[in-house]
Amino acid sequence: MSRNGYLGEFEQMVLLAILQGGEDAHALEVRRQLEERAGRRVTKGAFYTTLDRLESKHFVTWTSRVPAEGRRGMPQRHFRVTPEGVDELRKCRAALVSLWSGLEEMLDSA
Amino acid sequence: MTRPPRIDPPERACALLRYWLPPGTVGLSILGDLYEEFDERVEAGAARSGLWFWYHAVTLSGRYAFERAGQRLGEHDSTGGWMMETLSTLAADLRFGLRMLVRTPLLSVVAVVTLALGVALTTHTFSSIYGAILRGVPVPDHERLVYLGATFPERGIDEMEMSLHDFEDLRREQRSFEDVAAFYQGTVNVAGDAGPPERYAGAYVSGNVLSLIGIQPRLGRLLRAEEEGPDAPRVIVIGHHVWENRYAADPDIVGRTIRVNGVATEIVGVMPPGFRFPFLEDVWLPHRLDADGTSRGSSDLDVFARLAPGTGMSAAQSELSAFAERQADIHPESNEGIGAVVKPYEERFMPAEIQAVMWVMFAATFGVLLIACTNVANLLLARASVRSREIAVRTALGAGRWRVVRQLLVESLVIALFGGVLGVLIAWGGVMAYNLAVADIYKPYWIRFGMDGPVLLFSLLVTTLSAVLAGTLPALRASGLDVGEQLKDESRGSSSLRLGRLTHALVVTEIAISCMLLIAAGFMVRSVVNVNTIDFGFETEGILTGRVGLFDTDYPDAAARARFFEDLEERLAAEPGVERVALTSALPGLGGSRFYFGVEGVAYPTDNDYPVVLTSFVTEDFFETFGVAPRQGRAFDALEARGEGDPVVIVNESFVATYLDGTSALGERIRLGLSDSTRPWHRIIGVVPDMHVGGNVGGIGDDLERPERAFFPLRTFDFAFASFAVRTQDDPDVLAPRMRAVVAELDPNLPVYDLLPLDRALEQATWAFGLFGSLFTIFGVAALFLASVGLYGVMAFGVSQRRRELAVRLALGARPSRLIAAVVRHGAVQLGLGMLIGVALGAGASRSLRVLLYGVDTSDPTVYAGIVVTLTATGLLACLIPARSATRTDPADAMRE
Repeated sequence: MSRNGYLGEFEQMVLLAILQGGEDAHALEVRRQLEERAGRRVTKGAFYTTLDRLESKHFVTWTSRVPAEGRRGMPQRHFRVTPEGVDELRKCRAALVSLWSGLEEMLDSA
Repeated sequence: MTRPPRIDPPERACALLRYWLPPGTVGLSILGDLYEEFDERVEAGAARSGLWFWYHAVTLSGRYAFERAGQRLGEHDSTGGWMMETLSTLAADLRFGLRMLVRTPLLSVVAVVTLALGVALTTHTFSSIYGAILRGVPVPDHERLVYLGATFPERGIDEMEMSLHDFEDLRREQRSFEDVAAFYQGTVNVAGDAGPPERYAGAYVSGNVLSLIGIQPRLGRLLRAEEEGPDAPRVIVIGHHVWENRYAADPDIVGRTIRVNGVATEIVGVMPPGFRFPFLEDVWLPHRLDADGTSRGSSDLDVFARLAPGTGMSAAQSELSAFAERQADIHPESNEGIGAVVKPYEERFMPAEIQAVMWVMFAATFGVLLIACTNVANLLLARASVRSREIAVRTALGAGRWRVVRQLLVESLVIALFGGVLGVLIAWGGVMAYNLAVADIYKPYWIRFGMDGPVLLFSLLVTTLSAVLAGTLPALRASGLDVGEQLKDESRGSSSLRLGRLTHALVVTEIAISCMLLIAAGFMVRSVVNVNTIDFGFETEGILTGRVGLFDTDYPDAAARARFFEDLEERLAAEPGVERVALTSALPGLGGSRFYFGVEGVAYPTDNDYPVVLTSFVTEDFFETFGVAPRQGRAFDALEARGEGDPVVIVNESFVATYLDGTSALGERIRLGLSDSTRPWHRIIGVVPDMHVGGNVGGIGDDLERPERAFFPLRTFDFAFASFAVRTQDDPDVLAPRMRAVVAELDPNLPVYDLLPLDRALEQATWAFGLFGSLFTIFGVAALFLASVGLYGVMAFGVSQRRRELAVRLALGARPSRLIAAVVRHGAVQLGLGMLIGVALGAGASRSLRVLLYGVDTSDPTVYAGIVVTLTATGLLACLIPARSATRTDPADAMRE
């Protein structure tokens, strides 16, 4: 369960970026998604500790493998959003959509 | 296919990451991500990849270190999570504070630079105080090392050396000290081995000096108690640098016999590097003084001791005073009226006046720091007022007052931290420059200036103090807002956090402090000008001076020395371009020797009633060389100058006024020495105007120097040292190499010291005033700069808050000039009030500076007027600029904002 019942904004973005990354959602790819799609510069510290937090909330799991070349023999983690994580994202979206409903016209014209 | 990377990431940065990242795959995979990015950057030829890696290593490690500390606290937190909570909100505050800094870059830079200036000045002054006063002489237990001096209250002498007899008696009778030792300083001529004869600064010491200090020799042994007598075998201990430079660090040096002052002497030891006790010595010899051969009334020895464990200064002082009283009873003829004083050893060489100067300087820099803090407080207040709505929202959402205060305090701490680091860097540069400036000054060996641990600790304290000083007021002020008022207010009016009285009070304080510092600086500058334009009573330009000292090996007797000086005078005079030549025991303006003397026909009840006069021994052309004409009588003739015929003397006008009731002095006779003097009576043949023959011209306390002087022919006294002065039409600097050549022709082994024009020699003697004067000027200018920045900042902010109102008034037809006048009037009131307080404070401060001021009247109105005009001009300008810019804006623009 997330802290206040809902995911934080950045947590949502990270989860969505992992989903966007698909099969190849390793850390560098997820950050690239965040930067390209959300136009958001992310500090490494905030990014990795958010991943840790999402993992401890069971919204994210990962598998590791050592690529054949590069990375000087260090493992690479590939992230996946768990069904709980997807559920949590749905809940957040529903809450937002409900809050947005009826405001589109006003906010679009502003 | 990627090529194998050619460059590795910095090893230490990797180690840092391995230490802080989580263990296992998580940490390794993060490291792998970093490697991958690093290699990509290297492949792409990105510049400074190493720096990039370091940056991320440090920030990531910091992040994980914080996480880890939080976890650990959480595990052991007995406060129910309170610590964790505090730590994480503090981190949030810190992040937010940094973001606020970046969002208002100009304000942040101004605040950081302002605090840096304050921290730099205080740190620099503290480093001087630490180096000169607090660190102390580097010997074990230096707090217990004390100086024991004699006093002579009747003559206003509060410290002088002791006689050998008193020292011997004291050593035998005392109980307060572990041991008592004595020394006197002199030059030591070393020859009789490889290399030319060389002259060293030496200490002639009692046999126990080196063992009392408790420092072991590098080679050989220390001097022994039985070696101090007049019949003991001759031995010498040499300094490490002498061993290295003269003897190429020869490991077999101990036991070698060299010639010291012309006598075969055995080297018995080498001291460790850096050891120059008691002042700045190169070599140490037993004093070899014979009590039978010296008078009880003389004062020959600097005496010091190590306090016995558990004995305080006051106990030592009472024992020494009792000793002095006993001596006066037993030996009234020599010790009547002689007292005793005990003080920390270092104070012997760092007079209380100079210490006072340094503490006054320290106080002055704190004034600057205070101004800097006030400025930053004002800037923060101004920013807080812009943020009043943000703060009100936070409060409305439930943030406690303490939480808001803490947020604002953390912000000022962030500013102070940056300011502190920058300030330490500036101070570092300043200390290095200061060290260079004072490198050639003859000063105790333990005085050096650096950024030692205690100095850095001090900067940290000062930085924290500034953060609290600058942050507290704005934080308390901003957090105490009426939430409802702030939220209602649409920032249209002028009510959002009125800067009001608080800011105005801060600006007034700031102006007052800088006014005070500027007044003090003004008097210091005036004093420096006075020293530089001192009326010496003799000509100082077109005169080249130098000093030679004869080795007693080559010039064994008085006749040989006199012959050399006669030859020297003759040869110098024969050089082309030389108009006049004088030889003298001491150059005018640069000291002399003090002698007891008696006036014929005057009865002196005891030896202690004999007066003392500062005396110079001079050649025939002395007065003409320095352009001084006798007021009465005449100068020496050739016969008298050679010491033949009737003994004669020339005195100055003050001498006549003090000792001869101002009557005609010609024909009166005086004699050097006390009642038992065997010297001849000298007839006064001339009276010259008062020349400045002072101990240290323009030195600290020079105003107190008595002006009476007496001049004897050089030949009436046997000197191994003499100064020469050459008057020339040419440039004295051009003449210098020729003078050196002349001395070398007479004796190739003779070094010439201090060869430089007289005006420059006098300038060197006044360095203390120049140094302190320029430091105070820097403080004053820094204070003026900070105060005007502060005033400008506050006025500009005040005007920007009123832009809407001013725009409305302009639109309604108000004349710009009247609006400008209204704004300026507002600032002028603060300026006037600040200066009024500042002038009062400045008057008090400059009175306490009086010991430092040379020929300055601290009630001189021109200094006050000058400062008031400068401050007024700067202050008004600071008001005028924002006022003018506000009236130039388009009213319509201002209304739309």
